[in-house]
Amino acid sequence: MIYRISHVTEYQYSEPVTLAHHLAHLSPRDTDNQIFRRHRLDVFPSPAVAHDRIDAFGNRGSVFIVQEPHRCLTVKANSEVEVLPVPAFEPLLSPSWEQVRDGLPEDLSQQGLSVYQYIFDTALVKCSRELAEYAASSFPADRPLLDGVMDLSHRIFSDFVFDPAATTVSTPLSEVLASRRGVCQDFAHLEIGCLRSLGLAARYVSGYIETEPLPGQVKLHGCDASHAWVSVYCPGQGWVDFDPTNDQQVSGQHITLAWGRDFGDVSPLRGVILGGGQHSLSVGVTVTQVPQQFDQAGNSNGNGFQQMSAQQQQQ
Amino acid sequence: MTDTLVEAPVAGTQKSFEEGRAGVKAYNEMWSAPHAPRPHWDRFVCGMEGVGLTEISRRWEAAARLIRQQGMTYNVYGDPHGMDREWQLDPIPFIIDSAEWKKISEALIQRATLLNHILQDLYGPQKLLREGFFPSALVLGHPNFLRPCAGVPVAGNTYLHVYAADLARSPDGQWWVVNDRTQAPSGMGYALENRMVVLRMLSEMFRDCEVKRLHGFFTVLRETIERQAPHGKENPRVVLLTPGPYNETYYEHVYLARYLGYTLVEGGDLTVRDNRVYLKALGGLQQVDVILRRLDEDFCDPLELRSDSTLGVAGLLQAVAAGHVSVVNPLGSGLIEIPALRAFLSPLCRHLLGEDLKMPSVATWWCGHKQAFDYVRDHLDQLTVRPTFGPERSGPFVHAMLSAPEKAALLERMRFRPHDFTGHEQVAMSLAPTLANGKLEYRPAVVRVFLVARDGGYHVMPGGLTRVAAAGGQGMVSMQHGDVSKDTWVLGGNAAEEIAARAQIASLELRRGGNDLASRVADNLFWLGRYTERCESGVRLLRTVLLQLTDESSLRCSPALERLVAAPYAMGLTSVCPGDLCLAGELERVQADLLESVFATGRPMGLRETFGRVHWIASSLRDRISPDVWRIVNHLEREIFPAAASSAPQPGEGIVLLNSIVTILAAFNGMEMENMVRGMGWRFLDVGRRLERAVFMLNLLRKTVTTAHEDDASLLEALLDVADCSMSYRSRYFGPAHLPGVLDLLLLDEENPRSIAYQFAVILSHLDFLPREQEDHLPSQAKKIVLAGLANMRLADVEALSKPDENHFRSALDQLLDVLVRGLPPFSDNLTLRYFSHSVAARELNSIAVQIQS
Repeated sequence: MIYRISHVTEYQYSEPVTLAHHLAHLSPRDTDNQIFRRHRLDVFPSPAVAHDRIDAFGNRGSVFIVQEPHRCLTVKANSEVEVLPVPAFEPLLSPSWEQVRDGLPEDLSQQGLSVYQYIFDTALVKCSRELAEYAASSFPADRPLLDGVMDLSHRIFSDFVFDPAATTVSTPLSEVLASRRGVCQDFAHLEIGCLRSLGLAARYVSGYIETEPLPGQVKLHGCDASHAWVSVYCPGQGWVDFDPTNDQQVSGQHITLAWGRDFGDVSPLRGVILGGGQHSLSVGVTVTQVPQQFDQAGNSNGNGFQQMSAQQQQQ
Repeated sequence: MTDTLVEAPVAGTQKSFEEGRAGVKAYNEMWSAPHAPRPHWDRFVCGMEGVGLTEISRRWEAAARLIRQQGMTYNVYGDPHGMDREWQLDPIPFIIDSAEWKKISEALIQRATLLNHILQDLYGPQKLLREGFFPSALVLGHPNFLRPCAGVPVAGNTYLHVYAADLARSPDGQWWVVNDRTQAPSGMGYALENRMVVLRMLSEMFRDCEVKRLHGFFTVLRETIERQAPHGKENPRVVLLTPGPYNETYYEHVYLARYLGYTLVEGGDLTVRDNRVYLKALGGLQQVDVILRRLDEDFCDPLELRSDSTLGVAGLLQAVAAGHVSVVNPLGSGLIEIPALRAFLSPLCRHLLGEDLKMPSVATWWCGHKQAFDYVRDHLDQLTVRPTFGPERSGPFVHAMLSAPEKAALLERMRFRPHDFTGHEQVAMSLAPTLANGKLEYRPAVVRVFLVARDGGYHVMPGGLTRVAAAGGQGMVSMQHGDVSKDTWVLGGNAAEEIAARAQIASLELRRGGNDLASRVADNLFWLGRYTERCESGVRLLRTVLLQLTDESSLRCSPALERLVAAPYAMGLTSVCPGDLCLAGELERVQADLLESVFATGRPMGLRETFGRVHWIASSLRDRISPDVWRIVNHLEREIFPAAASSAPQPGEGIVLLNSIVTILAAFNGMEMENMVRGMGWRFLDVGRRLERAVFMLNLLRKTVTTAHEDDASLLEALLDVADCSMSYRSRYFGPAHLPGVLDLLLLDEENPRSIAYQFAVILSHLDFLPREQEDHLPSQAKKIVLAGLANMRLADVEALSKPDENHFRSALDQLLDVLVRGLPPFSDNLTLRYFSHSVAARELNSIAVQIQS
């Protein structure tokens, strides 16, 4: 399935911003089940300096500096990816979670090290006894790892209430755990915290999910949203994604932007500004399916998409 | 006297390690046996016996004054009295002979080289992790493993330009490394300052002992720093990046910046544009080539590292990656400052350098390994346990002396996340002689030694910063715990070496002007001028009022006295609104309030608070104001005010205090007028002063002379006194003071440095020199305000101003004063907007676009 994603972020400031540094993680990456097709980032006013780079986790990031005074900053990301069907797996056939846990520090290969980095505390996810205790009932002795993770995801889905008013980006996990409320980002952090508290490797995935309009309604532009879920490492299977917010395994409807140890590594757009006064933010995301033939026709016409790297090399 | 000297050394004031290592006697640095000094102490002991401890104690009182005068301080975190704690320096140096020093130097050069290799690998190919020489958890789990810096090349492939090691000597005489400082080692400036003081106070012993000099080290340091400039630029612009005056070693940042000749900057003074780092200066942006940082690396770039940092520079990482600026030490070098590193250093040394580690590290166990964890668990009582990654001061220094429940809780935490804990042995540190209460005491000592990279190797400072535990300390040596420092003498210095070192000083490019003045600094100088003047005019007014109130010949309740007494209240200097002075007790009430505002602390507009602001601003300008000026400010804050404290001050005491403040502020002004280069900094300071003086005089005249009274003369005399113009007036007029003459002198006379017109005229002349005023063709808004005010005064008719109407009101005068005083706040705002606005702080944005349908 091919998806086209438009992600528009707009900041309005009450006073001019004289200098703005931004770091964006708005470009999809390649994954085992996803093929990057194109991406274009348009920034208004146009940046004096812009760079693309691959970060330590293999994500595509962009750094840009807007040096002209502005009261409004618009960042438009247009991307296209092909999402392949996620191969089915048999949770009961995965190795036991203790076996996986004990094997992680032993593997000193490049791959092993890249997995091992996901068991440690980060600024937003701190392991704790409480998290380990919450996770415990999903992980009795010898339970196959993926079976346990499915159960944990399901419990988070049933025990917690989705409530955008309950948390902010800085709400600590202990509070989420106590109030049993939050948004996808909190649930992802919570599940990661649970798994890491048991000594397992888990990472944060930032992306989108395709939504379908209610029957009989036309899909509105901008009604989709950023999403976040969890990926856990299982030897033999590699990284397996779970979506605790929707109680589902990650299907062909999940589009991956980037992954990291927590939200802080892959925040879609962050910035440091000079001036600006009060600010307001609006974000619009639209995910649409592209029919295969149409896409090829559009492609040959050169319909406006270009590789960002060609666009924004050192201006 | 000599009896005390040869007294057998006491076993040490530190009980803790005596208990911890029963039966082991700590090494005494000075004595090999009672009455037998170690050979390298011979000359010193001889000199000390000659001079005598009484004389040394006496000299040390002078040294303490010297330290106070230099303003040598150390800030202690979490202590309300910890700001600007006076630096503690013991007179007895720590002496090391040259043969032993040679061994120490070789060992530390080896160690610095090794650590540099390790950093190269950890930020590069990470072969050490894959081959199992270094536990991957210590890198991958380290909160300060700066992933964005991995793979980014650093100048000369050197991660450690500056390195420091803390050394301690065990009972058998062996030296051990107890700490590595790889990020931004502090203390070399203090070491140099200690040397300056000791050299001046024990000059004969210093000479006799042939001590190696430190100067050469700083020459090498400067060369190394400047060689890091991208593209080999000559005479690069180097800045020293400090977290600011709240940092524990801020004094040292100021001192080093001045000693090395670099601009001291805070994060807000720098900006990144076009992937280059610039200093925000008055004359525009100035490119920076090298940053000598004293800011922890995770705070250096809020965009890519800690987003909550307000101390860093957004975009710095990208500027480094683009190769437009170098950072010393490079970002990321703090990675191996963790104690756990020591557990792996020996095999790493054999693996990377093919030789044995020359100086052992204190035995350390990283609990991430099962056997190490078991050992620490079983020997908890003999070990110190620390968080593996925690910064030292965040502690807790988890000590062996824990209660049973605390111990159980610690074990519980250790079992849950073993890799987060590291245990190490407590070293029975050697005992160094320390002068306390006229006698020698022997206290555990740690020596910090500094190295700087040079030509692919390292150069060692022949000396260092020695610290000894405070009496009754916990066996832990840290300046944060109120310990005492010492000069460190390495013997075997000779003149030839010094001359050779001195010959290498590089040539200097001549520079003039001062456009590289950071906007923040200009802003601070402007306010320094304003606050010192506010202080001075307040002091003068309070003094005059106090004199008048208590003058034998004055009437208790004349209308003139009432208006004079009301002035300080109306101007916010006192807090009690004076009522009818003829009423019983009113005079006493007013007088008490007046004295209160002179002496009391904690009153927002009180003298102490205003002066506190002067002191604070001056302390953040330490690299910009001369040591003499600082001494004046410090003297007032530290000595005059505390000495004058009194529970029930008499008017006479108030007058004495106010008199001495007037004198001291006059010294400050004299320094400013005579010694400051007429650059932008001086101009902003002076504009601030002139502005404040104009505001004060305008308000004073408005509160006192806009209404006419019969006994105006005594009031006018008092005003002349406040403005220090009585003599000038007398030289022009005879008889009692009359208003036209006074107004002419205080308001309109451009020759009188106390008049309002004079302030306007001087401000105008300064404005013409300010950078943007010269470039623009039209006068700025600020300049227009001053021009208009001056024109109004020049056109004013003093007779008309003096004339009261039928209600005794001088409306023309009131209008003029009103117009003048109302122009000044917009003037100040305009100036701020034009010149200081890029001192605003950057802030963080984080788009949180996380809504999801479930």
